[in-house]
Amino acid sequence: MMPTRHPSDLLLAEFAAGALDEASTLVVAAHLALCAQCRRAVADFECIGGVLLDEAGAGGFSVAKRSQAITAISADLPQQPLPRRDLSIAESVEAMIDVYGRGPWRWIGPGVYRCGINLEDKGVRAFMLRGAAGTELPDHSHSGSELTLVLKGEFSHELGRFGVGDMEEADGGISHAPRIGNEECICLVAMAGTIRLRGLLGRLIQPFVRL
Amino acid sequence: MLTLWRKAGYFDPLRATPAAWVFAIARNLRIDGIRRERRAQVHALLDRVEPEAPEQPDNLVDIDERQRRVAEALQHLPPEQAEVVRMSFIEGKAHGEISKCLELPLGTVKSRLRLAMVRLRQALADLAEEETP
Repeated sequence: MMPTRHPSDLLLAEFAAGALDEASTLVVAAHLALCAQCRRAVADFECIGGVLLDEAGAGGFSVAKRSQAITAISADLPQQPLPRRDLSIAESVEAMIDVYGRGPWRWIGPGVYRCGINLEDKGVRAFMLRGAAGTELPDHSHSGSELTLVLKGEFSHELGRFGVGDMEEADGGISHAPRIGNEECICLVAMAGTIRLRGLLGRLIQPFVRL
Repeated sequence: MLTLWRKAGYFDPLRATPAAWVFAIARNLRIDGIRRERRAQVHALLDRVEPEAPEQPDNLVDIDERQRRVAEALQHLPPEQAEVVRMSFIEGKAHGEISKCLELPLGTVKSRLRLAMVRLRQALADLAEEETP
């Protein structure tokens, strides 16, 4: 099944450039594992990088890095004509998360569990969120941007339905109250800043919610 | 480090132009060099994902054409767009860093990049259509 909601071209270009933070790199890469259409877009953007690199010559990347890359490549060409495609989609997403390692699942609210991913760069956090079927998350807004990729199940809110492989790219300030579909939902999230719960109930429980 | 990339940097002519491949490896080396970061490993894992459907070999004949079109589109970018594209792809600067360096609002940096990406992808658009089965 092909995802229907994709990262913006801007985000894919920043990924291809290698300029995204760790958390966002992880979430975008996991979407790419699931989405041939976006892999093609990233290949286009890498093509742009290739042309720029050709033009920049030694003025771009350091001479040492460039010659290292070229040595590595020329040594490999005869032996490695084709990539080894040995990972299924599920295995590759798992392997990407395992690059960093993760903590235990922790209860954060009724029907909702969170599992932190141990990034080195603490600026933007990455974690998995697991919600039981039918759970309604409290209405909340974000102080920073948030990327959410559905790995299992689905959720929906004011802006639509998100199924497996779909990615929501929310800017800071967006407010939403997601509802989990009819089966358990697991998402991979990159979050900058903090969340703010809305409404009376939200304000009451805010001190206890740590995402 | 180099041995890691010997293993990780497979070249797949169905997916990438040689220049794009050199770029991807150089990018990963650069990320590796910045800090003890593992982002590059995440990028490299993507090359090992089995696609659901076999990818179209039509790409192969178009490699030179792709390269030529992108180069041409880059030449025709307004200088202020070309500048942010270079800072992003060659210097690997995040959009926020570019905005600081150039003393421009983040929104301006993003809109310049967005416009540039639209143009660059348009230059490749009809090739991509021919490739779709």
